[in-house]
Amino acid sequence: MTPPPNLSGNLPDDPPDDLPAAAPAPDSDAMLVERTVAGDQRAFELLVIKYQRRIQRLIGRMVRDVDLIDDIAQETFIRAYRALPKFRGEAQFYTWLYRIAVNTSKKFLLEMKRDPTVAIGAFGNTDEDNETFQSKNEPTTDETPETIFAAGEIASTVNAAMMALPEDLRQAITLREIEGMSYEDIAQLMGCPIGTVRSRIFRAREAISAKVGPLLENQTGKRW
Amino acid sequence: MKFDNKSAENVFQGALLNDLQKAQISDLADGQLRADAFADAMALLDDNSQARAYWHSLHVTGDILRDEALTKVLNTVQEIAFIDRFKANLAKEPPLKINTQADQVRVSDVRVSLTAAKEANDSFFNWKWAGGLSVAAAVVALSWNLVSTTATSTNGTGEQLAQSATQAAPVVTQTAAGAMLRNPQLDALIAAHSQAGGSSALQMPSGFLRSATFTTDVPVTGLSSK
Repeated sequence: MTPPPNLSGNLPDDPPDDLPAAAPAPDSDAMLVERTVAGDQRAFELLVIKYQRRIQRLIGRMVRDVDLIDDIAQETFIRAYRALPKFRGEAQFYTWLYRIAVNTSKKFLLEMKRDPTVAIGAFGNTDEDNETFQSKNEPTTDETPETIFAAGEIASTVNAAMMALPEDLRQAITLREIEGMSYEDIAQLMGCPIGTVRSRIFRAREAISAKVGPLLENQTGKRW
Repeated sequence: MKFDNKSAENVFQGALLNDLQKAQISDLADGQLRADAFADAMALLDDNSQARAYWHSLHVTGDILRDEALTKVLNTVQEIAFIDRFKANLAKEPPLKINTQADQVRVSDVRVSLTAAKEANDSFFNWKWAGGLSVAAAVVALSWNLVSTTATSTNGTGEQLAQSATQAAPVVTQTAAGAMLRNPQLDALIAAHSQAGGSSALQMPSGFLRSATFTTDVPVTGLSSK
């Protein structure tokens, strides 16, 4: 008999690594949450567009079945939406969402454990010592050579566009996107007014988007 | 920065964005918009699929820059399908209910404030009552002590200190050796406690030695000769 999977070994309960360690820069999450609670569901859709990749990747570390990943991600966002009035804002929105995703995944996995028809392969890798399990558990179904190639092309295009940026633009967008610094901190670091920082970040994004946008549209053929 | 979102350019969904509108979405992503500017950006994103595509593009770019591994889940076709499915699920949800007054607090205000945590003894009213009484009693006791101390220091103790200072004033007495400053209070104390004068290394009371020193009529040699 196959032993039940060790759920605790796969559930990343620790706070996410991709949150800035220092005081977080202002972001629009709190305002979008507030607007959602006030009755604007479109505001919550923007949050879903923003975080769905991170949430899906997080869930993909716990379960292997891509259909399940999609279901859990949907459930995660719905549960987050229902709980929004209770979101007090002490933590960052993504940290809060992360916890909901972990708890939803646990719930799904426990329900699946009780279902004898579910194959053990639907669970994530239970070997804690296997450092490669994360990459193995990324969604695999629905991936075609074309989509894999397209995703790789988009990533390499973003990196190439970054390298082609003038130094001041590259520094500004790096400090903002990778280091998560506020405009004020970036202005102090670069020794320029905040308006200049804002302009540099926008110009950098615009230059990257000009290269990536067509690839994203080619990948979909659909409208948002 | 404000825009006229009802301009002809935006009447049709999917109208191309101008640079100002893109800059507005970039600012929104960084949390730089407030009040009217924020509302304008939200209206733009509501009206225009190009604006939502730009919003998506900004976050895809950010995700890739932060963590290239996220490209493994990057599939815009699936993302749009996911959003469509989510919209359908969301449409089935009842409107969010704000149940309590506390829930009506603005999230952005709460974000920078500390919310009082629920105490462990919240359900025990008597505990709170006893605690409050204890604090009140302590305050009353301290206040009474402070008042009485202040009153005493202004009326009683102060005068006593002044009197003792007067009594302890040194006086000049004439001795055979000349004028000497003496403290009458100290003299009284010495007279009363002469037996506590202590002993010297010669095993004699030190008071005797002082007397011997002041008795100049008898020569020291005379003592030894006896």
